[in-house]
Amino acid sequence: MNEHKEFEAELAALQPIQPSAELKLRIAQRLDEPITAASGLRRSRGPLWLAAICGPIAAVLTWFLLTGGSDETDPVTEPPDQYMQAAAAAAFDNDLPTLWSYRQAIGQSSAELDALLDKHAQHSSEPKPQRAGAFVSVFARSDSQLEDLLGDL
Amino acid sequence: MADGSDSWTVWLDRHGPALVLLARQWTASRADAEDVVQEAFVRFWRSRERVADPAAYLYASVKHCALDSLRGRQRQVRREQATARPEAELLFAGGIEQDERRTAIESALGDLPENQAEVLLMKIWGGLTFPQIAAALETPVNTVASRYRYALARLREQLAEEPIR
Repeated sequence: MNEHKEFEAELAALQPIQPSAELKLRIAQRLDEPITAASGLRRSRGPLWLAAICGPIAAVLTWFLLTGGSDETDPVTEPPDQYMQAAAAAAFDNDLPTLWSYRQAIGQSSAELDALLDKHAQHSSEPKPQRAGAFVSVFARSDSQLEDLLGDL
Repeated sequence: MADGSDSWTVWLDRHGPALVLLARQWTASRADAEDVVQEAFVRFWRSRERVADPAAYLYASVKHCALDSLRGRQRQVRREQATARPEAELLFAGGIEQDERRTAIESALGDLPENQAEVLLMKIWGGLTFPQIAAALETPVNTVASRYRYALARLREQLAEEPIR
């Protein structure tokens, strides 16, 4: 840089022309003014711009984090159709002791409820029919398994 | 404040000439350059307390405002008109005995690449340090220093036929 010292000094000796006096007056006037509505509006648009840009980005990131970037849904979370249909059929089967069947009976009469309870008591003492397809129950274990467990205790 | 004053007039007196010179790089006329400086200076003064380096911020504001004004269609038209008569306005003050040399320097400055000229202006006439220029231009310090050296070398080349005092 030393080879330029003399030249730098020559350049520095040149004085840029002073701004006009009018510029100073105009700046003084502007600084005396309150901040204009326009500049306030410009400032208030900032967060809107940010929201417009960041919103979609955040949505894409969230989607990516939740799905791992794949369009395919997790097969484990979707129960197979056959199990869903069997579970739905079981839930509305009058022969089974379900909440739906008891509600239906109470809705008709107390005599109907007694009859249903008797029916289910009778069924539970009979051997269970083998249903075609998968056995569906709202409990994890069958009644016979539970009885075996209770016998162990 | 770096210079110990909280008066805007001190800032304008200290930096005004260099700011107008800097704005002239992107404006058609001195009047346009003063418009740019006015807008940038008002913005600077109202937000100077929120920035780390007010001087760097002031020069950066002038550049941004100048580039904004350049994008306006009317300004571009006026720029084209002004470049048709570039001899109308001088950049530097000085006695008549320096006219030839001064004109040669002004011409050489106008031929510098924009990114070199702005560094030279901020360093020589703005009095900014390389780190301040780097902050104003959002450019690494080493790059700024290189541009400065290239600018000086190029100016000297162009003025080679002129005697150096």
